[in-house]
Amino acid sequence: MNAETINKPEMTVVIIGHVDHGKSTLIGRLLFDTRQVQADKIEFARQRSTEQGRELEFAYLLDGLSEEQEQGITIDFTQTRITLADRPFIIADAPGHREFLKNMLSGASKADAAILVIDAVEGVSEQSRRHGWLLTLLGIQQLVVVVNKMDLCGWSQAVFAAIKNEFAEFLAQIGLTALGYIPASAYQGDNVLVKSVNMPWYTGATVAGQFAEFCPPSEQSRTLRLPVQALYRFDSRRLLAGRIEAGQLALNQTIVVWPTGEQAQIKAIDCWPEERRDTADQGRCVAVELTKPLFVERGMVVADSARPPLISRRMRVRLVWLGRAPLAAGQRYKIKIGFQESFAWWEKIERVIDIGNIGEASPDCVPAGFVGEGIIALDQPLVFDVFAELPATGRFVLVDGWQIAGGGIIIEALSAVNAAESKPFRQDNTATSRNETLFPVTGAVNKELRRQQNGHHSLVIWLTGLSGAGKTTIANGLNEQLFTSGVHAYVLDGDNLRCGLNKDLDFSENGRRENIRRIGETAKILVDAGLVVIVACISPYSDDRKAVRAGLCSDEFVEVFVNCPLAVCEQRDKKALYTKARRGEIANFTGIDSCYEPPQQPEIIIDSELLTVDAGVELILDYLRNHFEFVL
Amino acid sequence: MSDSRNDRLYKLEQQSIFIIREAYAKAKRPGLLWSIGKDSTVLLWLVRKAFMGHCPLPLVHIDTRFKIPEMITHRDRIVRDWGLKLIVGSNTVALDQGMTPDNGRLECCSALKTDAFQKTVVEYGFDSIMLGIRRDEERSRSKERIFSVRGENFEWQYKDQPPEFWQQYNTEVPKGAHVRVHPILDWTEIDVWQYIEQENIPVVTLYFARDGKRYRSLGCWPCTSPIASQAANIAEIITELKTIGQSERGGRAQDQADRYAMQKLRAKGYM
Repeated sequence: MNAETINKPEMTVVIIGHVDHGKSTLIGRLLFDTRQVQADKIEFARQRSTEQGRELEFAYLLDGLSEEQEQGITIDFTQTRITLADRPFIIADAPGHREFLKNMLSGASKADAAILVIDAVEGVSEQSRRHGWLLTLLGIQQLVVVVNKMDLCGWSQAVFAAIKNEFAEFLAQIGLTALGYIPASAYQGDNVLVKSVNMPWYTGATVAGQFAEFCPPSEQSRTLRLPVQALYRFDSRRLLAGRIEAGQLALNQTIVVWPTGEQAQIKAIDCWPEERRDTADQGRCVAVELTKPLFVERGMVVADSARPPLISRRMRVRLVWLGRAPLAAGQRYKIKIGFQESFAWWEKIERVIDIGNIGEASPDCVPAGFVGEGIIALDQPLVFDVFAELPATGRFVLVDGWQIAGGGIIIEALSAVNAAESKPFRQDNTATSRNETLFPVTGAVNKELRRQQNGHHSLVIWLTGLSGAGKTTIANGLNEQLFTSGVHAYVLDGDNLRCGLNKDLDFSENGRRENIRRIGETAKILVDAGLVVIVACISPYSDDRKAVRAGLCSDEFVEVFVNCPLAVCEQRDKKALYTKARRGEIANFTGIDSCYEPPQQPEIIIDSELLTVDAGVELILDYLRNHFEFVL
Repeated sequence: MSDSRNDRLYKLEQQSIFIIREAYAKAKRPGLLWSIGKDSTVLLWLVRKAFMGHCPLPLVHIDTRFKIPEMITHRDRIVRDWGLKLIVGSNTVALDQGMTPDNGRLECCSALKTDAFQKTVVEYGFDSIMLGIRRDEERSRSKERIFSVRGENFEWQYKDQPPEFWQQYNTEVPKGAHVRVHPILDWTEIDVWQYIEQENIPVVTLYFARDGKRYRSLGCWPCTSPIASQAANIAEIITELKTIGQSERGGRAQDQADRYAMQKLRAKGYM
């Protein structure tokens, strides 16, 4: 290797195809013919071959595990460096057995180009097709097909042409085109490094020559994506660490952190041991300091201000499944997109791609080794891109137990909110008045930070009204709406709390006051925890409600009067409580023998006699949208 | 900014930094196994690069008491100069009972390296250990994963490794298990030397030829022999490696004890 080749960008080429079609032999032959394998490794392979009564097995130059050499197969992938046509390459040797598909993917995932080997005698097999499909998942565009073992079919041009036609037709169906088809014999060396004298009818490139035709990937994107891998604090400076997956980063550039949508500028790009940098390109692991002390944590994505990523809880995907148990609709798995983690379930399997064995493909589940398409729903919205636009941030893996059990690409976001169009909750003004060179003390996770993490404000929505007015029904309806919009909410229901926290209290005036005080304190803790707290309790005394309001900030208490005439409530009387109260079986019943003080200036009044539950819920949602920038 | 960088080394370096940061982010108690050799010293340098000159995790050195004395001197100097935290682990029981390579090379390696390493991992509760092994060192290492989970008994399930792709690693481990992280797995011997030269990383002088001999791979003195060489500096070493017909661990006796010696040792927890 000379000094010039070393600065040429290196490409990774994976060799794929069915077991025993000669992948390892092809690589071994390339290494051997170009004299790029060490003498003691050749000696080792020669000894092993002789012991088995064979000529030199070129595959033994690669297959390193004892089982691989004993069984004559590749179990796990390996990679080898080789210089061809004066350019550096890494060749990844991937196993062909279906049961070793996870190893094949591990080897192929880094490849820029692929060589698919097909045995001339066996022809196109199930695995040839499967590996073709996997290329679409891996985003590998450059593919060359080698029809190997031509020596075993009498160097027949007709055999080669038939395989070429059959496979070209298959590739067309999945949207791929091969750069070329090469008839070869890896074992005898025909068309590997030197042109075959046995196949004068073939005038195209040899395998080694084909390497020269591969183009290194162009890696320039205008879109910036820097997923945050970790946060470091060195010498009282706070650094965001991550690898630039797309685009470039420059000093003073304005960036937006998702999902919070907050902006800042790049204040410094740190390096060691050399001084700081002014710019950083795609692929570089950086540590950057921002001009503002924004809330940032592992998993968030730094983007340029013009091209925001997508945020959604549902997406259509294509994946390859590798788990022991088949992937089934309704199952839950951990999903990882970049450094974000959530749980996901398969809402719907739309298609199981039939790779040849029609009997095995059923629409109910995706067995190991199969490719499937469908819709997945996430427990929480994640930030991502569509694979076709930005591959690095458009793919995911699913984890089952401790192990990665599948990987796929995002085809489209469903009911996605474009991140720029959403109105993320912003920190209030008190935060910006802080000295910007100082970040809050380490470990000071406070209400503001939790709100930013949740992406919404936290407050109490206090539903007050007579028994039977519809407080609990509205509270639960509201809770469902908030939950599906990704808002962290919780219902504190007066009746439920009296079964636990407040079960020592009676319905006397003092008991009722203490009941409200405790509910108020609990709600306050939950607001501090960053939740939207929905309280549903009669809370008859105006003073008690005022006391709760006074304990919270002015933007943290929304009083909702669920207004319903006593007569209507008495008529509804779902729990037969009014009947009992009228009979004197229950004492101190609000509205009967205990007073109810309606709020004088509630934020919202719901006339539950006239409105449906949904309409009532909508009134509250509207208030949240208008006053607190909730995205609902 | 000049971009006349060595593209391959740059990509390898960035990949390693990514892996190191990932291992550190996911581990509760991470450690770095430092043999004082060139590979794990490059790894140590990369750790400092990943954390802006800091080394936020302790180094673990397994001392068999058969190490070449210059290695220990070098170790202590680096620890002092770079302000590192070092944990030294030894199998004192086996040493007291007189374990030497004369008891059998594989037995000795198992006791003084594997067992000592296992004991240290358990004693300090490490759930993640970074190692400077490389694929091109020997055949079984070529089959490794970047993140490789080892069970409670440290065994390597090399026949059934979980997949690892798109920079997504199997970072979580069951209780009692630990994950071995191999940030420089894809580097070659030449890459390591070129990087040492590029970054000016201090290495033990045993690697440089004296009186026509140099160590290509460092280990315990009874089982490591120098090779015939005139390469007295890094540039000469790189030139030598490009023409040499011997693989790297040719001077390591334990590898030659059995054709699949390393695979067998490593399946039981050897580094």
